Amino acid sequence: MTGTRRAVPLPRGWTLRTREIVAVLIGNGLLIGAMWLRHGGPDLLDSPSGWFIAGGQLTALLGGYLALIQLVLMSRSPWLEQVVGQDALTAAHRWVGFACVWFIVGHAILTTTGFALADGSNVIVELWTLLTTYEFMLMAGVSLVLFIAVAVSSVKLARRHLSYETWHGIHFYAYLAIALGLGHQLVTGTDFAHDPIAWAYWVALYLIAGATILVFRFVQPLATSVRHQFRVVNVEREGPGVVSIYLGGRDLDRFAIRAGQFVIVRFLRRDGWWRGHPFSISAAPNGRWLRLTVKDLGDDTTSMAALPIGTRVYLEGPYGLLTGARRKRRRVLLIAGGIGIAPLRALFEELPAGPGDLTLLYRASRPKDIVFREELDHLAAARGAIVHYLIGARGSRAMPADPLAPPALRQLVPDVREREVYLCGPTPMMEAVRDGLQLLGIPRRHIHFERFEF
Amino acid sequence: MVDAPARTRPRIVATMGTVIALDVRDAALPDDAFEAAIAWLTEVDQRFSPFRPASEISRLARAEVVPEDCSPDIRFVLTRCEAIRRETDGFFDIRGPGLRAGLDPSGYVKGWAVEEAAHILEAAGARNYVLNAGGDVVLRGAPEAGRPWIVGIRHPLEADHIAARLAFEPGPGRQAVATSGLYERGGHIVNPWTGAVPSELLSMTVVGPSLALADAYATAAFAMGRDGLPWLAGRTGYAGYAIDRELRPSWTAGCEPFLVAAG
Amino acid sequence: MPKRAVAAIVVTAIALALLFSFKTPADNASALGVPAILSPAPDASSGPGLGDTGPAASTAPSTAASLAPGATPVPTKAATKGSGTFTGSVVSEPFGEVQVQITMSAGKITDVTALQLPTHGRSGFISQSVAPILQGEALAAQSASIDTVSGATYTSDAYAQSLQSAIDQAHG
Repeated sequence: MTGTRRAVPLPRGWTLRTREIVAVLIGNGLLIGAMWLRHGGPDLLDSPSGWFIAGGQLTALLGGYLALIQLVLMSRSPWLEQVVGQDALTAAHRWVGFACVWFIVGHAILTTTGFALADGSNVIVELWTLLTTYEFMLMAGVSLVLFIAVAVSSVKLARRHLSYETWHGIHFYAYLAIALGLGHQLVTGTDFAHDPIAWAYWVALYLIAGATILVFRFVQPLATSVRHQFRVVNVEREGPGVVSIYLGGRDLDRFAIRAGQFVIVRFLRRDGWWRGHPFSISAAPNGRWLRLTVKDLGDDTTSMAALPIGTRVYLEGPYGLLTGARRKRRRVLLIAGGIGIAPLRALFEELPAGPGDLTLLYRASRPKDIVFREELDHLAAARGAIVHYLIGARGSRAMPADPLAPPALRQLVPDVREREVYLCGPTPMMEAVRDGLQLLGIPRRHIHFERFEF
Repeated sequence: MVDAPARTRPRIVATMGTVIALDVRDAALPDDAFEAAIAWLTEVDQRFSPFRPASEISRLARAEVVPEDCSPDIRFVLTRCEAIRRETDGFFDIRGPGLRAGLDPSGYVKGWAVEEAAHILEAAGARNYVLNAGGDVVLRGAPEAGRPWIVGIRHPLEADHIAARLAFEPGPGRQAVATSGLYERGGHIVNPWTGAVPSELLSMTVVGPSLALADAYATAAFAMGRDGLPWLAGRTGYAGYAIDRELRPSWTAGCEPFLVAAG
Repeated sequence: MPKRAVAAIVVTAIALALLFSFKTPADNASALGVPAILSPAPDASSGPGLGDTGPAASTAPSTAASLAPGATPVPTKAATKGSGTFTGSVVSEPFGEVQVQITMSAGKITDVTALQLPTHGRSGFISQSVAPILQGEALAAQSASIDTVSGATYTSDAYAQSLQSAIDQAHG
């Protein structure tokens, strides 16, 4: 189990840096701005209606570009995900998404107002004329409405009142919104209608974004699932409300994944086949099966225990940065809270480490919440690693102080400041621990933490 | 009958924001007749162009001068346009919404200026000519012995295609053809009641003795949409040919004699 | 999949079908094609080939701007000045760009063409050349002829500016 030879190949590494990706995006944006200048954009600025129309053109270009960036952000491209991380991508997606919709709304208002001023008509009449007599403009209007719906449904207040399914369903209309907007951009957009180079360039951007989504979101996972034929081969109860699902398949020794990563699985059965679950592997990959250990959370997960053996599985991934690839120090500290033990259990097994170099802190409220106890003790003994079980409700007599607060950490792990730290658990708990670690003087780049928001 | 005209090339003048072709078939019309006509058109452009900030019209629009202090021509044009505004119930209005600089008589001025240019040429002896100012036509006589002037009405949508043809037998005086259409965003054609750009018709052509009136009537009748032709039928001496959104043509009874079947 | 998702997909599909069936006037008109009364106009860019034929021919003599041989010589001023094709600057206006090109011969304008006109997303609404308006030419394919064309033309500040810049080039 602690052999030096890997059972499965390592997932491919990428030598890109985040700042290089950002530089390309910004450079492209400047190019688009230069295109606007070249098409005589500033010439518009000599009349009041021209200011509005110029503003409308710039917001159109920016909004359209940001929409394409959104597609790439959500494409689950490995080169992006492994470099930037799913957490950062989700945050960027949220920010870019709202900015994009603001720009597009601004574009609609500015252009309609500018046209109305130039025509001497009022905005309502102008809007009607635009929608009913310009080619593809009605589609663009529908696109705008869809964008607004997606944005409004994603505001925190709305999300609290919407079920995940409803929100996700509305979100899918973003694809349609982007597609419906393309027609009016190419035919009516002043930057493209008369300039074949600009037109070809814009179409190429769309094709690249579309191809990225198509390949990495759909084609590659499909190919992976078809090749490996993942199936449920075993289901075991690890403890109250915790279940392990074993996946077997074909050529699993050629499926590149590493400890700490997660996959998104869909169990192809009658109910809930369309829902994707992000589950971490809880054992180092061994080329024979993958073990996913999950908590009994919502409605669907209760039926995890009842998964029939042989259920086919559609699998996407692997994703995740909580891996040995990030490790820059010899000594490692793993801190798990609740079900966060799953990826860390895999790391505890796979991370190369000499005696005393690997420590695991496992925090749980009650003794029966601890899972993998025998495995962890066995691994610790075999590897010379240390595991501490921190059990008890906080503030109780057994545990008056927070065992993961800085003073306790320093006591438990005296050389904590020299460690590479991996955290996994409930977000508020882990954020507090991370803050504590930073207070202890551990640089951010040596603290690894992943949320599982999608 | 008219003299057999010699072949000449039309003179082209770029002015009034458009291009004017002067095609005179009479032999030996002295060159300074052309020069005088062109000078007149240029002068009108200087004084009446809403595109030139220094023109009298632009200064009038900015209220830098009052109408009483303007030249007689300006006052004449303003008076005529006001009469036509009443006649067309506001559908022709040089001060209406959607105008450049708030005052744009170019819908009348172009026709009027070209008519005056025709008058200048006639004074020098021209009797067989066609003048075309950006689609507004005034003609007289015949292009050559034995056949009438043929004026094509341009297809409103297909470039370089003709929708219909009008033939003008030589008569005692000038005849004029003017066409109005959806040629310009931000143009001066709006429905004065709704403020919207008219969209029932694609083009409206008016035939009559005066180009200035034909021009103004075409603009008004176009803006009226489906009601344009019936209104035009009530203008004595003027006929109309309209093409609607579905490319269906219709025309007034007075237009019948001019229509030529497609060859 | 929950029934709601199926319903949403069906409704979306119907809505998209309706949306795509909406036609603007330009679509309507092009779809109807050219009715019987409409016939192709003379090709304004045709060269001297449409030149003089005798009065007896059904093709009327061309009043084309091309340098047709046999045309009555017009008194010229300095022949070298102001001949050739001059392209005006591209002028932007709210709805697109305008560029006008003029052809001059011996100081006189013989042709004016708009190289670029804003179409405002209504394809085909605006003709690209004023030449057919100005100089009706003989119809090569038809027996009848057209001497001149009446139609709405494009006029705007931008057009006037570009035209003026072409003229300035010719003179300077």
